[in-house]
Amino acid sequence: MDRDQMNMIVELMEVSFVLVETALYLNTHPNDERALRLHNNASTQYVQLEEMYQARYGPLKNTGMSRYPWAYIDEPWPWEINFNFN
Amino acid sequence: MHEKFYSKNCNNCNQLATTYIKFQIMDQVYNQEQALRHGTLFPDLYRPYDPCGKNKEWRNYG
Repeated sequence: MDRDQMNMIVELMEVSFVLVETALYLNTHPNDERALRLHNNASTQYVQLEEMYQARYGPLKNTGMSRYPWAYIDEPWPWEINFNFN
Repeated sequence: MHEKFYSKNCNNCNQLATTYIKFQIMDQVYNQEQALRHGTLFPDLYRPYDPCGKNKEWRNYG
């Protein structure tokens, strides 16, 4: 896995985590426009990133299309990613 | 069996515990990198487990 792929997958995880948080918040605060903007921005960003990542490196989910041979099993798996957390 | 604990003769002293959670209003948010790092998007909710209360530093992370 090269550095670009690593950066991209970490960013995907970050943005998808923001989406989890905004979605949960919006469930109880459906009228919070600022939270909704945050969610929608993250959603747009996620869709773009996901498309870019999958075009380059293969499917992120096993429901995705794949080139030959089946690329879903290619690295990295989530536990192989080093976040360098303190 | 539990009549004496739930007796109606005793006004208001037979209530079970109730919880109250303050309604969250979104204030500051972490950026995406810091959100994943802290495990929450909201600095208001960042409260790492700290049984001895020794580490006061996290209060300043927000």
